[in-house]
Amino acid sequence: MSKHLSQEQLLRHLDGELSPFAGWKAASHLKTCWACQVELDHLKERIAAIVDAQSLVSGPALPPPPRPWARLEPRLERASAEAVPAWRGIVPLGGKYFKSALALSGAALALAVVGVSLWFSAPPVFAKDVLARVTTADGKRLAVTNRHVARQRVRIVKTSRSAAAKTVRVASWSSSKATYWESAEPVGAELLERYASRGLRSALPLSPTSMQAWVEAAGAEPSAARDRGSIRVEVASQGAGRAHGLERVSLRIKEEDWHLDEMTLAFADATYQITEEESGVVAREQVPADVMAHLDPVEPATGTTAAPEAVSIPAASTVNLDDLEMGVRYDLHQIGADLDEAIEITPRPPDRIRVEALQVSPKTRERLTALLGNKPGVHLDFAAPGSAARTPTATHIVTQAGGSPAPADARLVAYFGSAEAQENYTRLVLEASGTLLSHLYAMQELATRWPEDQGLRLSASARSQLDAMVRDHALEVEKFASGLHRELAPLLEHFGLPMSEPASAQARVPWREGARTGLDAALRVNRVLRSLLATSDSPLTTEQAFPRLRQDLDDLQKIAVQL
Amino acid sequence: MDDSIPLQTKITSGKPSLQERVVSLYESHREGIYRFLVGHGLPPGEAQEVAQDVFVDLFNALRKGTSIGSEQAWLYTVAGRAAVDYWRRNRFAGSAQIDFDSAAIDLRSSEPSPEVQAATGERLRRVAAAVARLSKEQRMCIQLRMQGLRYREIASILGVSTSTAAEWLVSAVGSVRRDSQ
Repeated sequence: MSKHLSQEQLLRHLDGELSPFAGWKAASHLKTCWACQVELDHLKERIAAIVDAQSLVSGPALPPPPRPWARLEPRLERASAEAVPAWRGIVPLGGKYFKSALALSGAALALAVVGVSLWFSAPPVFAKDVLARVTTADGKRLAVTNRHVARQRVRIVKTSRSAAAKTVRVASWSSSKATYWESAEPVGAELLERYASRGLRSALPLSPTSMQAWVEAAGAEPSAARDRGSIRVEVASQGAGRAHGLERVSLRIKEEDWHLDEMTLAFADATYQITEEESGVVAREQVPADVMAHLDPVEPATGTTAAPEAVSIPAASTVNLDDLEMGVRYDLHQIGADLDEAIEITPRPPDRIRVEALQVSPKTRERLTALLGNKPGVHLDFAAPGSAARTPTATHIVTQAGGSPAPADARLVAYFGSAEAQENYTRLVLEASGTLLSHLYAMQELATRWPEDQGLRLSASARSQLDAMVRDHALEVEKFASGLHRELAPLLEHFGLPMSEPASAQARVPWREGARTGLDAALRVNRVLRSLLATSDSPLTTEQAFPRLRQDLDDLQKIAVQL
Repeated sequence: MDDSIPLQTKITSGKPSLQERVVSLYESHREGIYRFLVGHGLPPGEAQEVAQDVFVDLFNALRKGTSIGSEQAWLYTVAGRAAVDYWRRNRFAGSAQIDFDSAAIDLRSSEPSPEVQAATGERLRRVAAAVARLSKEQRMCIQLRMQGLRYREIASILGVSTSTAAEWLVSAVGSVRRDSQ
């Protein structure tokens, strides 16, 4: 790292909020930079003072509660009674049933048995996991090609305080270009307006996109629980969601295939229960021609197109967020910005990608703006540059030489000829190792973002972009791994550990697996190099370091040629 | 086997019930949640109500099998959202007014001398006053971080991006340093 850490980087490092690569770089830099170590200590002192001041001054100085604290038990008992779990019906509870010690112990045992059986039969479900599984499963189920269209028919029950419940049906279709809803009742159009207000004009009523957008709109943590063969996910609206009139979102998911088959949207003035009656993917030929006209909109030659009768929903473009994100990553890759840890990319369903550039230089900012500033669907956000950024300086490598060099250090210095030559060599190999790691981290990020099964969600062009990026990184990994191998071979040989010939290309390994194992090996190499040549928490002698280094370099080089 | 202990006690004494657990958390954390809410501008009466509500919410969430990593962090997340809601409803709500100059400080420490204790107390008063002068968002960031929340969780409560939350934290720490010297 060629410059000091900013205050934000130091704080993020302290809080464990840097990405793995950025965290590694920060830790590496701190090991060799006194200025940043001192700055980190100052930051810790400031935080300690704030924590002390809050707990010793501000907290005690606040007004005490106006009333004695009420017991919570009555409220918890009322909360329990509001929705009695099924098992409560099996075991009678209440004082009148427990008049004898025998009854008491029997009931307690029964409860324990029921509790144990429930424990084993129904492991807890986690809402975020459930939503991720639904996104994957329903995403595949409703994926369309140029020759297919997704079709969905839902029943909508609208209830409100001012009118009787009303049931309507909405048929909807979605192609790779547009989505179309059709309903003979105003409730369908009304619901679509609600969807449109959330930017969901191009989503099917029950789809991963709409599900995610409504859960996000509620602005609170979802909770999940099993309910008679299904999973219920509930979100009680908070903050912005409530301000928009949304009070609650409830989902019903079939656990057997992670399929969302019902969603209830409760607004302040009405509740819509949307239940799937039918959904699937059909060939375009099976879709009525008037519907296809909406799914394949043609630029109007003259005048306006008359809206079909009983059709309330105009067509709109759909966005494949995975493709959009891949395009952004590919653009960043073209300028090498995918190796920069300071850029975060977050999909924002239904149709946006947020790119947050943290602490980037004015030049990078300019390049990113030119690259992504006008890209449709991309929101580029720059965090303010660190106020305490200091003048960049060269990296200082501190060798282990102390007042009286250890015999091993003396042998190294003798090999290099001088401490300065050793420092130059150390800088060279550590920079190569750092570059190698940055490519492997970038590959691993792609692998994490698009695991094997999710690559299917990408269009052909997005897949080719992914392949191109992986290929570029793999070539760089091979180049730097071979370079390190070549550079370190004479050193190892001098100390009696000749290296084996560099491995030649063998059978390829899947790149996702190769990125993971390659990263492990590269981190091991880097650790040994630092322990041997630079400052380290656990310095190694040449006798300890060289055998490990030889093994790890061999491992790394073999993996690199297989990528 | 000791027959003097009632069977029910033997069965239930190993692990507290959910209700017992939440009541125990209520007793440990209600004052902290209350102070957090009052510190963020809620009137004491409302803060006390909300402080009780968040424990009932926790109880309901646990009953439904919601995955909760840190119960304390969860409580402060809900309390933080309540405070943000309150700001939105009451746009001019400020922070609680505290007289830091006369605030009593119980250092409970082994400071070597009364002089050092006095100096430490004075320094902490200045820091506390500097924290009170931060924007409400910055103060919220600091207090939620103190309760162990991650940047993403803090950002979610405040409705901002993670980088903005990080930026507010950094600027808050910097402002306190400058303002308390």
